[in-house]
Amino acid sequence: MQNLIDRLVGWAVGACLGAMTCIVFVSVVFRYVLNSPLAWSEELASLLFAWLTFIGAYVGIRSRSHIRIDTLVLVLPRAVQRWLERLADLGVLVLLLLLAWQGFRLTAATWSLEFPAMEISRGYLYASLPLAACLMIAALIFNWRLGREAPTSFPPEGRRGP
Amino acid sequence: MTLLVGGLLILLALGVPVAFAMTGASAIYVLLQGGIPLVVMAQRVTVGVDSFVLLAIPFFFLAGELMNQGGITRRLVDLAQALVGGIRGGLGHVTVITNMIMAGMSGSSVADATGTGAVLIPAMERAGYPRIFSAALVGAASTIGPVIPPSIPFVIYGGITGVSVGRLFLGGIVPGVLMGVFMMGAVYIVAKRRGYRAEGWLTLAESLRSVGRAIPVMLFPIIILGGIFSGVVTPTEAAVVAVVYAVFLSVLLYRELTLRGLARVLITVAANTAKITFIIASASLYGWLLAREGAPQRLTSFFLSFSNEPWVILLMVNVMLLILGCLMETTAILVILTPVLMDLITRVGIDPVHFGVVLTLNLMIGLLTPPVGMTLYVMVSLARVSVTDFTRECGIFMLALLVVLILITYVPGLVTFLPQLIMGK
Repeated sequence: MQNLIDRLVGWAVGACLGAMTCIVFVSVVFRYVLNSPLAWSEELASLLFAWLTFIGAYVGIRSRSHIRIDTLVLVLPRAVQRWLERLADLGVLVLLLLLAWQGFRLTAATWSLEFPAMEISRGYLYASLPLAACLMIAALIFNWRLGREAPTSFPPEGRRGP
Repeated sequence: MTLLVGGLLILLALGVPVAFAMTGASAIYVLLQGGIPLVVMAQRVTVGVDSFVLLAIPFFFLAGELMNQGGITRRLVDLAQALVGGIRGGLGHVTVITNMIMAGMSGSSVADATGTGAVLIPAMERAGYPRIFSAALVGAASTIGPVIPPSIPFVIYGGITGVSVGRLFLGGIVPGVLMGVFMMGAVYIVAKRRGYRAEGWLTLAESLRSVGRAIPVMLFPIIILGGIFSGVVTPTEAAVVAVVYAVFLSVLLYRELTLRGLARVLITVAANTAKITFIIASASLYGWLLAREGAPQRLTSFFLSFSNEPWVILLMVNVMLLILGCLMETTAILVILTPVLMDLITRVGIDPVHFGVVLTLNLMIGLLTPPVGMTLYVMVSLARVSVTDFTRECGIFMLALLVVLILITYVPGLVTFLPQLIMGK
């Protein structure tokens, strides 16, 4: 189950990035080569970027690779560290529940608003956070069920953000 | 305000990931304070990444990773070898030059460090350099990347402040070149003191071959920077053109990357991008609450109570940032402090383009310092050396960076001359 979701999320964020690249490149071509700018390209690419950000945060939880400051924690005894980690996970869970709840409310409230160029509901943007928050909650549950074992599928070790 | 700042510091100290610590502190504040509808939280977080400017982040990151996987970085190393391999401490200078050229293509210090480190550390080891020297040098040299355009921190700073990213990019050129020159000076000093020799100049035929093979690669900076500065494309669009060109080179021309490999790079870069941009999204909520609490005004009056001379303010801000840079993650500092500091900067009449470059160079030094330095940890794990040894070995390079920081802080013309020359006042 978790492996399937891991893989799907990986493909989804990869596809978002690929699609963003194509959209922006095509819009440059349309503007400078064909001289007919696309109105919707920036809106759509930014929308996908929001989805990539929030869905991608699932990966960070699963692989426990979100950027954190562990300097202070590392001096504590192992048992205390593990206990703190569980407590932090619990706090994050509560926070995600809150974000999911408020995110769904926001999506419902903005469903009738539209993007000026794409003419689709702004709800497609605001739905990214609550849906991703649900995925992240799933990620936390997977991590607990698997114990402290690191997941195997992704991402390759040793690479972190800019 | 105490609740907001104190809450964040406690959560960070407990090891909560930076992004969740910021949203968590904000949530606690909103719940206890009352008066702010909860739904605003979701709204601020989402609109924080609904931004076309910030899209440049994954694209520059992707371009850097494609260069590493597609054999482009290796060709650059060969080129640098032909250019400076004959100076004493040869491969050391090659490292600096490679990073300077890389800097003109990718926007990320960590991508540069992993890419050049993977090629250069083994090569330097074979040539007899101690591994710790190579690791420290590659780490230090990679900090040139985000100062020479294109640059992810400049994109973030521009996105937050509304300062033209093109101007920031132009402003970074001279300081970036200075970093390279000072770093090569440091390499020369170390090489002389420890008796490292030169690798010897290549023969003319070999040099020409390296240069020839690098020509398609050297089109990168021309496409990216030329496109931005001529106003043909925005920085985000230039980043995409760089990605497409990198795919063309590595998949079609050099055939070093398969389509499968390309998919893997996309997934890795997307996942790593999310770690940075999720922090930016969270900071958009946290920063909004800080501003609502009047943090920028309070910080401004605190600084102004000491002095209202720009040079004193710049000194105090630099020292504060260097200390914070040791303790906190770079992106987090950038996104939280930029809006808070802007009030102060404009009040004492410091040019925001000048300040953006000073801020970025300052934070780059923070990438190398323990206990919290991303590049430090990447190099330590890549080269399997200890944090203590790395820090000691890095000392002279950090000194070189500090000298450049002081120079560009107090000679603003080094930063502002090019943008004013090319883009007008």
